[in-house]
Amino acid sequence: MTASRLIAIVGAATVAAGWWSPLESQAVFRADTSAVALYATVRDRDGRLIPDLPREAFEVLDDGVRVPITVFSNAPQPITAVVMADMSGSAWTDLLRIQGSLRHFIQDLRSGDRLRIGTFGQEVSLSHALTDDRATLERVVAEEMWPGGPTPLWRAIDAAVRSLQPEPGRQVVVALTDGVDYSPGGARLPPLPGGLSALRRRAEANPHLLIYAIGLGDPRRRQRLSGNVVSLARVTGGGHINLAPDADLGKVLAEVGEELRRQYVVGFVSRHDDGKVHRVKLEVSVRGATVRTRESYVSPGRPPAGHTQTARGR
Amino acid sequence: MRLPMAVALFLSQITSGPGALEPSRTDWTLVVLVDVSISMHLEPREATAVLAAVHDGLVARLAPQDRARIGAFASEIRLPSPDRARDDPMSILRDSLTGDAEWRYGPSRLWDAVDMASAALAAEPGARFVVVVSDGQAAGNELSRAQVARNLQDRGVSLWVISVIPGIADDQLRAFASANGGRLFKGYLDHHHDLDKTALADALTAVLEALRAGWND
Repeated sequence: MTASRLIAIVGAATVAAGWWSPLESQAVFRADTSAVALYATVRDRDGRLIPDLPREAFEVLDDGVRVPITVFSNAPQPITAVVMADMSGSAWTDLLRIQGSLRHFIQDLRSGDRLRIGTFGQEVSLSHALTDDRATLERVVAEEMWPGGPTPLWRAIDAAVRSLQPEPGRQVVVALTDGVDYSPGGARLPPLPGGLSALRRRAEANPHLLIYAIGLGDPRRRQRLSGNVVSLARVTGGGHINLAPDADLGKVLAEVGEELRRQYVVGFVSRHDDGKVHRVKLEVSVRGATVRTRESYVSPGRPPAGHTQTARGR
Repeated sequence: MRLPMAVALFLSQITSGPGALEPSRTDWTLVVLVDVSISMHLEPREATAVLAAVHDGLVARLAPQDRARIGAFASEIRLPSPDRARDDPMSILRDSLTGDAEWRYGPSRLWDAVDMASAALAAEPGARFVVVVSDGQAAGNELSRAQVARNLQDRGVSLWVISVIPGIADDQLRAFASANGGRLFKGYLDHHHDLDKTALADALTAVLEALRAGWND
């Protein structure tokens, strides 16, 4: 099975009806809290991306009820992403592989793309800022990756998510990891307050967030992405894949980049204003094609009294 | 000029040993930076001990005309003002180890911290030094190592380093210090990553002696 088949891409976000372009959409998203957008990838039965479909090829079901599509774009989208690399003891042997793959990913950045590179192990570290400057990013790869330590995976993803919150537009976190959170505390990094459940709530409530998890563990030692990591990626509409030790990580990163660039944005007005989680389904009328998108969204509005769910991530 | 034997003997005695009078030497201004990030494996109690050791082993042994500030860094860089450092030399304990600990969880902005320290020293008269106590695992820096080195040279500030974790970044730190007028000293934590007060005290003494050897006029 190819990497692209394994990677599921999804997304949901608030959008407004009317004139729209990918670069300017997020300012509109924040101005209108009654609309929802889905970031979606369409593939044929062989796993190849299908770009350039028209609006008429899609239908949105909001809690099972068909609703009009108010916003649509099939234009290539720039990438705003944080790549978090696991530097824990178990990933020590992967350092050169990770650095080489990141260098390829950096060289492949396109106009409008912005990237930040982070690591987690002894510490959780993020490079200074989102940037499209290749020299700066390559300097980070060369100077600021230190193997060793535990695997504070939830803290790492949380830090990446928080760092992206001020950014307009789609926010992507790509975690390269052996797949299991381990934060022993003591004189080392303590666990994330609230743990996975708190991170999951924040991720679910951030409609612009997509989390990808790329497993670098050795399957011969039963090291795979944990179910919790996979679940977190799914709830945001992101994707996951477990790589073989000799798999080409650079190629997988390139495929993730291509998927993100070719995602559709499909917007609709929510029928709800209760601040609760609702089911959403995006269908495409192309024979043999599959569309992958977030399966739920948090509607605008306040949750009922006693309901603690947050309707908006920002 | 040939000095009388008694005078020569007197001068050799007062310029040797810790805390000795050092007539006619250039005034020194130092910024001592202590890495308090979580990768140092220091509980607050141990980080306090490191800061106290830096004060007792280096700052308190400077000549009266010298000036020094102790700063700390992790994801933030905390450096007291010259006035505050003079009135309360250990103010960094309150500034760095009390309250919210999140800033210590990373990254370790080593190069940015060195640059901030060298900028703070740029306008000072006399000899100027930055002394760093760190594991060298720099991350999250706005400035590159090369840019920080250029700034150190432009400002005429030399860098001295005490490494606390063997092996990980020693080569990089040694090269960086050597290229900027200083040296690397080993004040390693023990194999349980606990603070070895003797090793750190010895390293601080070695820094002080090296400074004296290189900068006495």
